[in-house]
Amino acid sequence: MAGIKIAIYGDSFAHLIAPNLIINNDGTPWFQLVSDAVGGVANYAMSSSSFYYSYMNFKKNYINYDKHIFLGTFPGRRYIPIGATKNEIHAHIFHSRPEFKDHPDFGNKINQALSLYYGYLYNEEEDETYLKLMEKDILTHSNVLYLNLEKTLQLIYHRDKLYFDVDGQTEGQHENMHCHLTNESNKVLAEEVIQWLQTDKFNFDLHKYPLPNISSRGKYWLK
Amino acid sequence: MKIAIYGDSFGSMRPINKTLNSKLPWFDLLQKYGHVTNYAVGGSSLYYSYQMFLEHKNKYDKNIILGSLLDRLYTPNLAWHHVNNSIIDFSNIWINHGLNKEEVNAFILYYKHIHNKMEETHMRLLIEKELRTESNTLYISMPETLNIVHIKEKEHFGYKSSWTENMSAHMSNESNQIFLESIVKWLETGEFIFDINNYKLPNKQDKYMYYI
Repeated sequence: MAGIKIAIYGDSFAHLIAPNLIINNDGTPWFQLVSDAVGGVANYAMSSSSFYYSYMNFKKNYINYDKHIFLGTFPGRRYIPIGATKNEIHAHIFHSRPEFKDHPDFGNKINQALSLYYGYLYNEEEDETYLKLMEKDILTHSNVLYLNLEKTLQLIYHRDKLYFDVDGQTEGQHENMHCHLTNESNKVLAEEVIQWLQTDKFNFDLHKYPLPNISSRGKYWLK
Repeated sequence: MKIAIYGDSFGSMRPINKTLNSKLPWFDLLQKYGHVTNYAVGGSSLYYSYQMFLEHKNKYDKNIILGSLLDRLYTPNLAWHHVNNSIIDFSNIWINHGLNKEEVNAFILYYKHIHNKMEETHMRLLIEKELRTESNTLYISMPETLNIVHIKEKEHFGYKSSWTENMSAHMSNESNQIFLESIVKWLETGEFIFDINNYKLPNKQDKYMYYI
């Protein structure tokens, strides 16, 4: 695999690093494990980003890489190339909440625009249609590992959350995982991706990803 | 032959004042060549046409899709379903169409702060790709065809705004005829050619007929 150039696209499932590394100190995100093992990995993933943001980067960079790993995220997100502070914005419906009114990126008119957009204009069916069209286009390329998050990594995340009995309302903000996965699951995913890079074979099987040890709850969900 | 038309005003707009301009638009004249069902809606987006096409295509022998201009939104949950970015400058017109002030503000802020033209263009290309692989289907992109005729004629007549138009499908009657002929040729041979040079500029004296 030496010399192979690899690109990764997606959202937090390919980008998020545990915020408190003193508490979660014995794991590594799957994308880092893959990079350490095979080298030559460029990661275009961005937490909270939309499917389109990844697709745009995929189209822009496709020719520069031999293999691509694309994590297809959920509908409902908007990519705004130039926000209030001239930074790009990855917007969700929750950015329309009043607590973002004075946020440097989402504040000013953006928060109001998002609130009205999600309240009156957002058309879920249209969003899902575009997502399917992008998915179809990506799948025409044989050198892409495409993971629909809803049908793959999100299942692990939900299963583990349920297992840890995490209250999404009160504890949701205190997650301390790499890519929303336990360290063991990050390891398994990295191994599966490396196997795909070597053999072009990848079968997602939820049972390959071990249930975490209940005693590790405090490491992944901060008080 | 059962024919369906999908698209925006280029497939649905008739003169407001029929006394001044009594000629039929190309899509009405097409009735001579088959049984035409017209799903085109003025101001609608390509996404809307695509949805209509997916829903109805199998009922027809031939489907004609006019790929509308950019900057349009389909909002099925509001009183007015098809809005474009002219709402920024002409908000009163849309309030008269049944939208309330907050809804109009939603569109204005959307176009000013959220709308991503590059994303819209990419999504358009994906829909076009799908449509171009469909059998018995003619896809015509309006920005690259009839909208050029429209702009050329508008400039010829010296009009900047489209709100006072009294045309069929935003074009002179002669251009409607030429477009009709190219559609009929496609129905008969499967070949469609758009050549801007075939669309001659109308007589300037006809201005009274086309603009109120």
